[in-house]
Amino acid sequence: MDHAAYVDAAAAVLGLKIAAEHRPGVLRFFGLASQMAALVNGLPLDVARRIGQRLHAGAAAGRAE
Amino acid sequence: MPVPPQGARNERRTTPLPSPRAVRDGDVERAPRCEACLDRIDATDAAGQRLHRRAGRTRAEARRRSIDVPPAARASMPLAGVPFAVKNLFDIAGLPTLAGSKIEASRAPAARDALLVRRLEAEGAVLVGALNMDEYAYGFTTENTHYGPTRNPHDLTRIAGGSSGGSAAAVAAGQVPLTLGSDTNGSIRVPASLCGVFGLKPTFGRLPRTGSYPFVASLDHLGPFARSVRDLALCYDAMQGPLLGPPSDDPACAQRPLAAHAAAAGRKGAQGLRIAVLGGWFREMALAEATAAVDAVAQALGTTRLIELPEVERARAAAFLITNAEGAALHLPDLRSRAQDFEPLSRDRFLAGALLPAAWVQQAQRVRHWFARRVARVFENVDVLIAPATPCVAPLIGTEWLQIGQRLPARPSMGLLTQPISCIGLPVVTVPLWGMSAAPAPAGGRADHRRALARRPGAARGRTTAGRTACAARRWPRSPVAMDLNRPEVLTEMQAVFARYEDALVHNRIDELDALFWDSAQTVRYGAGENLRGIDAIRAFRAARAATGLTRTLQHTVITTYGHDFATAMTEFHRDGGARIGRQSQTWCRIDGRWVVVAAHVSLIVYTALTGELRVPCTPPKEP
Repeated sequence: MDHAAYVDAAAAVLGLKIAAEHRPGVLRFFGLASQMAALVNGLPLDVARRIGQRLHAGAAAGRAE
Repeated sequence: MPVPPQGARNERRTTPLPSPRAVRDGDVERAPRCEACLDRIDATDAAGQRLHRRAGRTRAEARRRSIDVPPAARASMPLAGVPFAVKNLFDIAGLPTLAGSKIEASRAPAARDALLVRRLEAEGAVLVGALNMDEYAYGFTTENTHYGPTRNPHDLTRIAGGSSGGSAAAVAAGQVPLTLGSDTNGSIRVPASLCGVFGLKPTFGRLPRTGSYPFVASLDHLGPFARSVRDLALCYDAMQGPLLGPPSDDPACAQRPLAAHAAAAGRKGAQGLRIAVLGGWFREMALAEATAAVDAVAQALGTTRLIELPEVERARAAAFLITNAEGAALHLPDLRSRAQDFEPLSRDRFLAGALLPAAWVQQAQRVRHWFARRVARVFENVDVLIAPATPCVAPLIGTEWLQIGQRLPARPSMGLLTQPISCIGLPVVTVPLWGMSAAPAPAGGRADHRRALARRPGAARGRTTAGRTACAARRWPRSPVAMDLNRPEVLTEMQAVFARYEDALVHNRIDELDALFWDSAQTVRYGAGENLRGIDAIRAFRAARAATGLTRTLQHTVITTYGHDFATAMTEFHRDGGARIGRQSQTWCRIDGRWVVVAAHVSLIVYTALTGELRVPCTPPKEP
């Protein structure tokens, strides 16, 4: 992904003006988030596995949702 | 050292809350405790603890008077008169809820106190102020650009941790015995660890968040800081309970029946608990002092079990993404219109978070739920997991990078070990463990490392979360030696006390001398010609001696203070016409708020000017 191009386009859609002095930091943090996204996307999950609106902390397998 | 410094460490001495029996019997003097805290705040706030006393002395005093109830009624008010303060994201009626920001300062004041504040006050506690934090809770360091950094009370050059840094520092500095904070990714556990106090992040959904400024609703927890497990449990007991207002106030709040924990705290021990150490990520991403602390705890508990959770790094990534996106979305209107008013240390992170693709965030939620299910299976075979709360000791204020196997940005990385746990809502007690760091103490001292316990949520086999954890935890804290040398305000105080002692000595004011010695059988004074063990022997000696010839001149006096409450005073003295040089060593401690000598030693030598020879005199001299 071209982070700079995405950030500029998404910011325009959201009406978010990113000042020139903030842009390097925004790109750096977006890059960090991209690395995190690669990690979560690297875990294969069953498409049938649903998530609920609420997290049930500590609920055993099969009873969480 | 007989008594550790004020600020939190020896549990027996510093436990601030009265026992239920003391409350019932009316043995509790509430007013002095509240007043003492307000005075302590005045004395220490300038040093960087940053308790914004926005609740004010007037409110605190009015509240304290209002709970001046008959002893019989106090049995139902276990926190009667106990002062507390809250992170400034809790609503306080009549004041704007800052959440560490400049932006919120211009918003309308809160109409009423946050629900947890009301619940604590209903039990008799007295709110005295609001505490500094990272802006909108997005940070682990409380280096707040708008209001200044909160400094670590054990070393003012270091961070207190965050985002509830003010809450941890206020307890560690002895400003108040109880505080409240919030924890989304580690914001109770990290500062509790770095400041050496006890912190409780309850199970997600256990305490209602009504009247608190949100950060990430799907991850936010509220919880207390205190100086002992029992105090945590008392505070938690006072705050727990289902939401009685509209569910929309906090849809995540569990509708559970009340269960008392404080009475069990510390009584059941660790017997029967299945305890293990967390391995893998929790050791790889921690420095040696952190893993050494965990190993010491494991040894004390007699466990050699090591458990690895699956895919911890991905779980931490999920927490990062959910936080980034959800937190930013909350502030999107302000990010659009006044980004320049945000905290510079987190503004760019907020801006980036507003732009994350939905697919990333949704996958993060799926990973989070997958991880919660997998960890729940682990808890079928274990009750307590031990892990470091922070990967390293408190960094210096302004630290940008950490070296933990690799070079990592310091501010987000302080939560490396906490994020995977809060991501799935597990309850954690952070417990101080002193003296585990091999790092040399810098000139101003150091903040030591702590470790946290992650526990199976809920109350297995009829034991309570807080109570069980308390049982195990109470065995471990060790008294620290605070290497916080010569803090200016403490040194000034000690110099004044030393001068008072000297004046009382040369004028033979016996009552004052007696008052300046610790009233204890433990007090020892080795005189030049006598060994006095216990305060009775010391007083008897003073009463019997001659009251003349006590004038003396001091030289080479060296007073050194260590932390807030411990000092040594070394001096040489010479009496007019005498040929002998006296040496006087004193050990001072602040006990029950007063500086007293706990040990002293005096000796005399003869100095021969011609030869420079030193001789020990053979006849017992007078007491200096």
